[in-house]
Amino acid sequence: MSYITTADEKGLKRLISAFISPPTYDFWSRQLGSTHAWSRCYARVIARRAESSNTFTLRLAPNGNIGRFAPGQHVNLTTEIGGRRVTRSYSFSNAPNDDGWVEITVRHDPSGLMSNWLFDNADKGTVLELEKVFGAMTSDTFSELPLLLLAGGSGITPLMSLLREQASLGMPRRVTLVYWERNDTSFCFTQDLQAIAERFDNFAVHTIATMENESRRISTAQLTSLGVDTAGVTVLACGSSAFVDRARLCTAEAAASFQSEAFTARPFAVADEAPRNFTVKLLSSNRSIEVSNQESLLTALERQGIVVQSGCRMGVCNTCSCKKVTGSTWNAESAETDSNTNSSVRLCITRATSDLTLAI
Amino acid sequence: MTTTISTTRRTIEADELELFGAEIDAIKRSTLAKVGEADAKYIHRVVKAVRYTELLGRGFLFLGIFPPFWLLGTLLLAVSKILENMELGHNVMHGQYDFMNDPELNGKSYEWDIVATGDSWRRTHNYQHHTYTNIRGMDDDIGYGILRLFPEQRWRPFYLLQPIYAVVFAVLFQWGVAIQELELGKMFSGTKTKQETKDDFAPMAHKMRYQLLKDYVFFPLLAGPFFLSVFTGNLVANLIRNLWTYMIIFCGHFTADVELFPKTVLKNESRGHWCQRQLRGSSNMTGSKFFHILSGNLSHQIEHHLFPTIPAWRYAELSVQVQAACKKYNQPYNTGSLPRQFGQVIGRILRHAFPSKRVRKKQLQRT
Ligand SMILES: Cc1cc2nc3c(=O)[nH]c(=O)nc-3n(C[C@H](O)[C@H](O)[C@H](O)COP(=O)(O)OP(=O)(O)OC[C@H]3O[C@@H](n4cnc5c(N)ncnc54)[C@H](O)[C@@H]3O)c2cc1C
Repeated sequence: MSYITTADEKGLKRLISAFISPPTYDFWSRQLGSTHAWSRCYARVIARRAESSNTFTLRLAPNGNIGRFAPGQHVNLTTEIGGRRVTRSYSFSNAPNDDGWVEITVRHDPSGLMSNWLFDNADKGTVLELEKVFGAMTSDTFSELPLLLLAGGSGITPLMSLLREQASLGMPRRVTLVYWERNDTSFCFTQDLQAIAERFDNFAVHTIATMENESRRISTAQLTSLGVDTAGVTVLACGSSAFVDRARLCTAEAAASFQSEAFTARPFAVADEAPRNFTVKLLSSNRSIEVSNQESLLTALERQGIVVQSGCRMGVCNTCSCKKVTGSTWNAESAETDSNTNSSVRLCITRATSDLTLAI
Repeated sequence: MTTTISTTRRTIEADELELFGAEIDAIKRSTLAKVGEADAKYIHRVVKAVRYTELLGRGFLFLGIFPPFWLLGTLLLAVSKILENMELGHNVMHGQYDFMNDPELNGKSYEWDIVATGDSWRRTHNYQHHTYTNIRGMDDDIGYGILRLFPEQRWRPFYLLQPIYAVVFAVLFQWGVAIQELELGKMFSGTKTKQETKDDFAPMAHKMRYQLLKDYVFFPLLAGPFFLSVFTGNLVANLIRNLWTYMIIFCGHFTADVELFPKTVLKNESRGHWCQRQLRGSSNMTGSKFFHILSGNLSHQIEHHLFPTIPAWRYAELSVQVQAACKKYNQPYNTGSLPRQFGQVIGRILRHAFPSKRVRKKQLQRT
C-alpha cells in the first residue's frame, strides 16, 4: 500500500498524464468502482460496528496515497453533504497494521453536521476522503516514565490507539488510563480495555460515569481516591477543552510532563468586550464583509457564504491558516492580541479586534 | 442589418434606476440562498457527460476507418470539448461552484482543456471583460483587438479585409483567446518589450505544447494504424468547438443593438447604472434546453453578466425575473434566435469593415 515510488511506476504515471488529467483519471477510477486515485486519498468503509450507545467505529481501507500515521494522530475526513464538502478531524483509534486498514471512532451528535451524516450514511461501501494526517501526541516523545492517560468522552480515541500500540509492544512501561463518560452506556472499547487489563499487570483502567454530577468530574481528590499517582509520570489528556484545562490543573504540577489535545475549541472569552462589528477586506476575492467580534473569523466567513479550507476547527491542523495583511486579531489559544502586519492567523481560533485585511 | 435605434427607451430618473438595481440585487440574493445540493448534482452530471462523451468520441475515432464511426466520434468529441469549455470550465472558473469547496471545481485553480491557460483567462475574461464590459479601451473583448465592430472604433484601411480574417479568427478562435493577453499589438507599437512578451508567453507555450501533443501526437499514436483518422477527427472536433464558441460569444456582445461605452461611464457608476450597462452591452439567445447547455448558458449572456457567480444552469429561471424587472423599469432586454443574432453579428462585421459613423443614441443618464 505504499504510494507509487518506483521509477517504473513514475514513468507509467507520466505516460498516463500525457493522455488524461488527474481529475479525469480519478473520475474513471471511481466509475470503475475503485478508490485508487492520482494523488488524493480516498478510503472505502469496509466495516462498521457500534462501540457504545452513541459511538461507532468505521474501518476504512484507504488507497495508497495516505501518509503514514502514528498512534495518537488525527486525520481530516471530508465528504460532500448537501452539495458542500465538509471536513472534520478524527483520531485513528487503532494501532498501525500491515493489512492496510485504519479505524476511526465517531461519537454521534444528532445536531452535528458530520457525525450525524456519518451515523446516517457511512456504511460498508461508502467512500470518504482523507487528508492531512497531523498531531504531535505520539509515542516517540515518551520517556521510560509511567504513562497516565486521561480521557474525557470521545477523547478516548487517540489514547486508545496509543494504548493499543503499547500493548502490541508488550506494555514496556506502566500505563494507567482514567476514562470519564457522561453515562454508563457511553463507554467505548469496554471489552478491548478489559482484555488488555487482563493481559498486562502493569496496565490499570478506571472508568467514571459523571452522570452530570460535578463531584465526579476530574479533580485531584478524585484521582487520589482512585489511587492514581500523578507524581513523576507522563500525562496525556484528551477531551473537550474544558476537560483538558481541568486535567492540566489537577496533574501538571506533579507530573514530569503534560501533553494534551482538545477536541473542541476554547470558547471565545469576550465578556470583557462589548459586541461590535468590524469590516474585513478579502484581498483575492475583492470583497468586504462585516464580522462580529463574538465569533471566530472562520465561522463569520462561513456565515456569509465564503468558503475557506478548514479542518479541525480548533487551531490544531493549520488548514485554515491564512495571511492577515493588516489589522489586529485575538487568538483564543494563546489569549494574545496580534497587531502585526503580514502575519499568519488560524481563522478558526481567531477573532477580529479591529478592521482587517486578509489575503483570501 | 445595420444598427437600429431604439427610441422607446424612456429616460428614467436616477432613483428609479437605483430601484431597478436594487431589484436585480434582490433577485441575486434570493437565488444565491437556494444554491446548494441541486447545483452540486447538476455540475457532477455535467462532468459525467463531459467524460463519457469524450470516451465514446475517442473510442469511435479509434474505429474511424469506417466513415460513420469517424463522423460519430468527431461529433461526440466536439460535444465533449464544447461542454468542457463552456458549461464546465467557463462557469467553474467564474467561481460558480466554489461553494462546494471541491478542489477540482475551484474557480481559482481549474484548468480547462483548451490552449488558453486558465490563469490568463481569469485575468482577461473574469476581470477585464466582466468589470469593464463593452467599455472602449478597457474591455479587450471588443473585437479582440483585430476586428472593428462598432463605429466608435477608429477605422483603418486594413479593416477592409476583416470579412476575411474574421473567418480565419473563428477557425482559430481558441488560439486567438490564448494569446489575447500577450497584446501583440503593444509589442508591435513598441509599448511592450520583446522580453516582456516572451516572459508572458512562457506559460502559454507550455499549455499549447501539451494540448497539441495530446490531440495530434499521443492519441493518434495510441491508435496505431488508425493514426490519421484520430488525427483528423481531433482536428475537426477542435474546429467545431472553435466555430461554436466564436458564434456564441460574438452573439453575446456584438448584436445590432448592443452599445459601446466611453470610459467616462465608470466615474461614480452606481449599482443601477452598472446593471444598465450590463443590459445594454449584452444580448441573449432563445433556444432549446440542449442549446442552452451547449452554449454554457451563455445564451443567457445578460443574466451571466448580471450574476456571473450564480451557477449558470439557473439563468433560465433567473431570466424570467430579470425580464419582469426590465419591463417594470422600462429597460431594454435584447434577445432573439441564434440565426437572428448571428445575422446581426455578421452584419456588423461587414458594415464596419468600411468607414462608419456613430448614430447618436441616448447617452446613459447621469445625474
Ligand atoms: C484533533 C481532533 C480530533 C478529533 N477526534 C475525534 C474522534 O476521534 N472522534 C470524534 O467523535 N470526534 C473527534 N473530534 C471532533 C470532531 O472533529 C467533530 O468536531 C465532531 O464529530 C462534531 O462534528 P459535527 O460536524 O458532527 O458537528 P458540528 O456541526 O461541527 O457541530 C458541533 C456542535 O456544535 C453545535 N453547533 C454547530 N453550529 C452551531 C451554531 N452556529 N451555534 C450553536 N451551536 C452550534 C452542534 O449542534 C453540535 O452540537 C476531533 C476533533 C479534533 C480537533
